[in-house]
Amino acid sequence: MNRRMTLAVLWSLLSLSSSCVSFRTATSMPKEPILEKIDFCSAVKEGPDILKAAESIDAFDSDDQRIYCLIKVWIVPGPMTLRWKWYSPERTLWRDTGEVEVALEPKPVSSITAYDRVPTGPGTLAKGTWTVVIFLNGHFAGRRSFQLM
Amino acid sequence: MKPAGAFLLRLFLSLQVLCGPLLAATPLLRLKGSHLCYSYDLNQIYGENVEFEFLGYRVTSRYLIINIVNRSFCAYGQVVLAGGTERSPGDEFWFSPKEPSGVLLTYGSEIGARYFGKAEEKTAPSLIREIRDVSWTAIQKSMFYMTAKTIEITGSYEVYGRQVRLYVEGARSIGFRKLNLTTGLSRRFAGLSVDKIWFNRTQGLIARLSHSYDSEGRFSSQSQIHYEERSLLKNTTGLNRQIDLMTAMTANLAKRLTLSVNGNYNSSSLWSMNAALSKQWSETVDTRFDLTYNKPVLFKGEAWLGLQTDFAMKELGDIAFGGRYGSGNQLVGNVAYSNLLFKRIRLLVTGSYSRFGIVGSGASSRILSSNISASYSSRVFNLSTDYYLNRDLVGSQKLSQPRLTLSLNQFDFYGSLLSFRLTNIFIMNQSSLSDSLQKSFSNNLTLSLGIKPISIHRTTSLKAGFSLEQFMEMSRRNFTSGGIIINVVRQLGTGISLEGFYSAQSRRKTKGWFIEGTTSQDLSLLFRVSNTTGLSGWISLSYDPKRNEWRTSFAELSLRISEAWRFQTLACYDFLFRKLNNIDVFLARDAGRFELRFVWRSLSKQIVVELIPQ
Repeated sequence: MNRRMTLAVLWSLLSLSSSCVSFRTATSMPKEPILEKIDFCSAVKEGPDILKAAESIDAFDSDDQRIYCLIKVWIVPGPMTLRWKWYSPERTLWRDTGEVEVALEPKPVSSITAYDRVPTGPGTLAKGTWTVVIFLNGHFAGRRSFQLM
Repeated sequence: MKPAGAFLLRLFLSLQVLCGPLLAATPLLRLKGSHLCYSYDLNQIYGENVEFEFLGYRVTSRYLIINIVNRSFCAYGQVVLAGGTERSPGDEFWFSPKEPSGVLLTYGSEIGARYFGKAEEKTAPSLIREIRDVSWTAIQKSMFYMTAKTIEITGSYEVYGRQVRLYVEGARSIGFRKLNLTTGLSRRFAGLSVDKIWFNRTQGLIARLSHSYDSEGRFSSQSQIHYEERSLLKNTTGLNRQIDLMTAMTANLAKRLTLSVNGNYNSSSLWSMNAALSKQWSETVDTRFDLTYNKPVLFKGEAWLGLQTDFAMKELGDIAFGGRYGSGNQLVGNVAYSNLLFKRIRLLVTGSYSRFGIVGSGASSRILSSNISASYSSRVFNLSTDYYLNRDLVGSQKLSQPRLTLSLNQFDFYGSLLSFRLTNIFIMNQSSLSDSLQKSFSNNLTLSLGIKPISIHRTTSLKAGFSLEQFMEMSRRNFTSGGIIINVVRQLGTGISLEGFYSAQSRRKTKGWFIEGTTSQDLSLLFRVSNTTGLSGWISLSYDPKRNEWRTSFAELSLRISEAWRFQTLACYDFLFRKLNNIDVFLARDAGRFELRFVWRSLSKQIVVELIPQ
């Protein structure tokens, strides 16, 4: 009796779940390069393979000589370009690096790091909230803001 | 709807739930993309080359991120909103599908913004969040994540996927044609659902079904059936099966008229039911009429009929009258009045009369009780007094209890270094029978003095606390208790510290000239290493200076073996019996909304798998 009941329960569960199980599924890997990280810092450390922010910060003052915008990109095979656009507190374009081509040869890598930097001398940058926008392969991929005090 | 039609619809809904949600309501958002993934741990969605409908526009974008937790939605990278002949390109589109509203940002010679739906220049910034809140790299490190061809988000933020591939710790599972990706959340959706089907060797086969219905705030119901089948077990005592049914229903019959019904049934002949009708006559008056029936196991059931009216009269205070009549000529009546006088004095007066039947005797008790209390609060002190009177009209017993409480709010002095607190409670009891009278009183005085942490050295700090309690009774018995705790912390390096605790307690009882009591002391040392990325843990040693002996030692070691997995062990050693009391070993996975732990406990000698919601 018990065995029959267990078999009946198992059969019921299998028949109920059979309507929602199939083997046609979605692809699992992204096809686009992904902007993993945007960091602002006043200095960049060079590691064996990648660059690192000395200290990631979002607020700068006149003591900081330069502002680095360091990015980390998870890449996919194929040609690739990077672009930084810096917007002032008045929301106008202050600096545009244009498309920067990335040479992924000779050895294949899974991610890259790169930076753009601006000087912060007296009267160079207006105080307030600045926004840096990153483009990958000509498409908007991320943005981050920092404060200049 | 005709009964037959209702039955067929119910049958269809039941089949729909059991065979997978084939009849889902129109989703809030339906996403298609070349790569869509959803993290169960983080409750986030990431998409690529995405397409969806929003406000009559067909939206396409290179990337899409959704954080279900904070309801943020963003399509970005080559965004295009196309509708009819209109075509709006942009870089970043933040939107709310429920409002619906959206803001499209473009990064050209300046940052431009265009608003859609209910969004305006003032309200749009609330839609815009940080893109980095959601990332594909974080999602693919989740314990459970899924990829799907199509994702649907319902109005209650349930997430469904079509052609789903489930990943557990990065390992692929079989595919599913359609799956509710958010199952496991406490959020309920309308319809019948199978919450649990389980078998274990102690309880047998367990099944739990629940049904929920909500009709736009007019009618809502929640029901649950819990079924246990024990006849499958080899050795079982008691009933072969048990059913529990719980139901709660609320109907808003008119604007200020609500009917609620609650019912519980258990197959061991136990059931109860409560129906209540609440009417709010105005802002100040409301009435509740209720009928309750309760059938306990082995005893006769009883019914109660109740009526309660509340008057909220602002400056004149709140007054409530209530009465209930129960089967067997039982009765309860009560009245309560509360008010805030002169902005600081809280007054509460209650009175009740009850007549309850005594089970098995045929007799009944009649009790009259009342309470009056007043409390005064100021910045410096709080004073409250209350008087309680209980009178048993059958047994001619009377108990009266006046009480006075004075407490001094904690205040800091000596440059805020010291803090002091005082509380005194005086209670007097007077109980009288027909031929005797008993009186007693007690007074409890508590003083506490605390010292804020003092930095002795750059790396050393000291904290101390002192407390004293005096308890006095009418029978001239006095209890005096006192204690002191000293805590010294020394930082030995980044994340490494050595802590010392010393505590001493004394309790003395005095009666006349006779003094007796005990003292206890404890000295503990704690060595702690806190390293978030690698090894961390602590070890403590406890020593009794009074007896000059070591007592116990506890140790905890935690090692992060990967970004998400952690090995942890907790052990206890008893110096008195010279043996290891207990060792617990954990292997834990922090998975966002829950923590999965494999635990081995030496006491029970069992491996336990725990799923702890966070």
